[in-house]
Amino acid sequence: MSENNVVLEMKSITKNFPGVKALDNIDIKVKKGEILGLLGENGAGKSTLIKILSGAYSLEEGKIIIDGEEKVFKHPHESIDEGIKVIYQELTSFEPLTVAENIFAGETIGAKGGFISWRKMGKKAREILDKLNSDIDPFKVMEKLTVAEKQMVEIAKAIHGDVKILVMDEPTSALDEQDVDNLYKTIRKLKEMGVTIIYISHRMEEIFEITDRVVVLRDGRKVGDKLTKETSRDELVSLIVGKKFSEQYPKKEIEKGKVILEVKNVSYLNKVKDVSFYLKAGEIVAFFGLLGAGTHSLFSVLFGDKIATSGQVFVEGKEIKLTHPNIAKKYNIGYVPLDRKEEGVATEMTVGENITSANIENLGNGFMIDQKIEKKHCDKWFDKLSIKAPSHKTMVKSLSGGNQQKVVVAKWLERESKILLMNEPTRGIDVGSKAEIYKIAEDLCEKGVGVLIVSSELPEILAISDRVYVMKDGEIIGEFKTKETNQEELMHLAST
Amino acid sequence: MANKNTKSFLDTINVFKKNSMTPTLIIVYILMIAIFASVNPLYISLTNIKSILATISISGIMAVGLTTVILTGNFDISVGSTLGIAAIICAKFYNIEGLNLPIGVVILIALLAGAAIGAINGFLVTVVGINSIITTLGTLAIFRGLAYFFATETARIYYKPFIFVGRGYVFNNVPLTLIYFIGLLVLMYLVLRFTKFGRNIYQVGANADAARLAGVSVDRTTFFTFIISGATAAMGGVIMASQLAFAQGEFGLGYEFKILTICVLAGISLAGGRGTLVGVLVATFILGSISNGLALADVPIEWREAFQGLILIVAILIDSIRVRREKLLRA
Repeated sequence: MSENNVVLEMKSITKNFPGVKALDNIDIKVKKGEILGLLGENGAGKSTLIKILSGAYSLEEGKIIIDGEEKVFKHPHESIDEGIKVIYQELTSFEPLTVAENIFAGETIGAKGGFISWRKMGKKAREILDKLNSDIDPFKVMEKLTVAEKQMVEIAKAIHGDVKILVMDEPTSALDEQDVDNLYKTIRKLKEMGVTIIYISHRMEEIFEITDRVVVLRDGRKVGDKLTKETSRDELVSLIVGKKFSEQYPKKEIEKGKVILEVKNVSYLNKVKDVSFYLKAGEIVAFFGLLGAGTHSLFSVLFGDKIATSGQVFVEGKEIKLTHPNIAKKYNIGYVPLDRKEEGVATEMTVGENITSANIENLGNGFMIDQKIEKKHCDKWFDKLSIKAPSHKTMVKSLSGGNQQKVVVAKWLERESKILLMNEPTRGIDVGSKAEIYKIAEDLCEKGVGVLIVSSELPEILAISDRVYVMKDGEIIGEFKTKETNQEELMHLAST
Repeated sequence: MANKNTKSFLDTINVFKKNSMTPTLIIVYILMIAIFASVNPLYISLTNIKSILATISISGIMAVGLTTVILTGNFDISVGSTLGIAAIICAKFYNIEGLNLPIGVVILIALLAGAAIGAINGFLVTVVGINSIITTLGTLAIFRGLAYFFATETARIYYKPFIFVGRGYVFNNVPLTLIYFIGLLVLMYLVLRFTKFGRNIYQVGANADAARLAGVSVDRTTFFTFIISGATAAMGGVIMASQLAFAQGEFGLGYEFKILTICVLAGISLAGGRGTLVGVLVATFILGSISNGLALADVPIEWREAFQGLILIVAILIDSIRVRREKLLRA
């Protein structure tokens, strides 16, 4: 590629987080007007890379060169000034304000002596939206728009002013087909206007539809850089998932017992549709699906945090009505939630208080908490799971992600759960802790516990599960014995 | 060996660990006493100290109750009106012609009324799901209105045993009200620290989602804290009626502000889940001593109010600086 055409160059970018190398020596060049697909599993380093580009994270090692000039971004507004705009997956609009106010957020259009001219603002917004072939009314209030329209406003916001590079993080995750087509048109239009686009997606068909070139990241390293027309779906999938993982964690053969959980025709709004499956004692069953497939909602239903709109759930042959987490708890179901900080731990409380938090009623008779019993329980799990903290009186906020996750797991081991639901149990934790979490799950199986796991990391699913269910659009679309399937097959099914 | 035991005991009590603000407060308090005493030596006279101790208890007791609500991440601004209602109930029920209710029963009715107001607040917040500030802003207005309605004229209670409740001393020098305050504070401290209910309060405030997913009844826990707050506010009303031997519709007007100041000064995080009653003890003493000290220093009453507002802002400032610094250290 000719050097003068390169609009952005990222050179040997490396980023360390405590205990994890998030990015390792990444080199990426993007040409003007190019649409670059950025691929990789969760935790591969895509978001970290984008956050460095946008100035949300500081650059520690490496260089960012824009139009041949080295830049250092200390704050997101500095990268915005350079024409780098990011549209995040979670749209960040001002809901009660109008479309025009959102497009010009932070600016005053046609202001005279401190007064804003709504007429001029509307006119300018109209011009920008026209450029995008959109007929959204500039004076409509944001919260009345559809998701696709909101996204259009985000794009309008991004392209007004100077935009060189537009980063789109999974822009289609909440759109239907018609909207996706419109989005493609808009993206092509931007390309014609000379805007460079970095497009992040999990969905293969989108990558082949829209991108010129793809870069694949895995475990913080760049493992592929191909022209889209010269690669194939299979090649990309194998680059994304890698191979070695399952070899690192040889699975133990554990004898399976009776069916302990049976789910029949469970639905929840339009998020989970007519789902049926079973789980045996000693078994690890995984659910795999892309964003929006319904795996998370299914788990919330199984723990009684959301109430199924129809269907039946049987625990050890007995039908139960899951109307509150209390009920799930009563039937020895434990839950390791998706978002550790928001739902898993109370960071301002101690490790011990967190470990016993689901089991307070058993810490002594009557009203009082028996301090001796509590200490005994804490010590037990503290040692067993080798939680790395000075003592069980340490505040959870000072622990690493992996150790916080062990605290969450301990909470349910403490209750001797028979069924453990783990929602992305290794998200954002380091490799060593991952292995420890797998080991814990395996040990539980040996004791006759059944483990259900939702994971978006295929190598993890293949390494530890016995069976896999693939979900898409709220439905189960495939069931596999883990031994008889592979990453390519699962990814293929889930992404088409 | 003995040494080791003491250490583990202190560790169990865990007085300062959860409240970094308390040691600072104590130093501030000592400085303050020194300044006020140098302006007017009467400040540290036995009579004045007795008077401070007798007057701080009402706010202190109410702050203890409000603390439980704030710890769950909610707020109760209806406490001042609850105080007013309770005081009027005392006067009205005592004065019902021909019924001659024993004073103990009258006090009990007033306390139950406070608990009932708390239950209404709790119901609206947990079952109906209205934000607690809005809920209690509504009940604040409703019960203030009712207080005015029932007390069109000053209702007097000239009954020695009742007056003794608020004005009595034990061992000649220790006000009874101080005993109630300290007794309640110690009791609630133990409840928060050593009971399942107390643990749940902290859990709900520290992370309501995590608590719910751990099977804790977030609503039930929150509900009970409102009842506690209502009952302690009513206690304040009973004591005030007893100290003044009458009740008026204005009783407790603006108290929500005073009590909030104590809780914030005490380091009870308004986000919930953090802070202990040790801080409340110190903060109650500080605030009571300030108004008394300013009075003795001949500061006009209008300025005393303003000064209390200043104290509140400084306390919040200290708290937010601390939080921001912690965030920076973590990043």
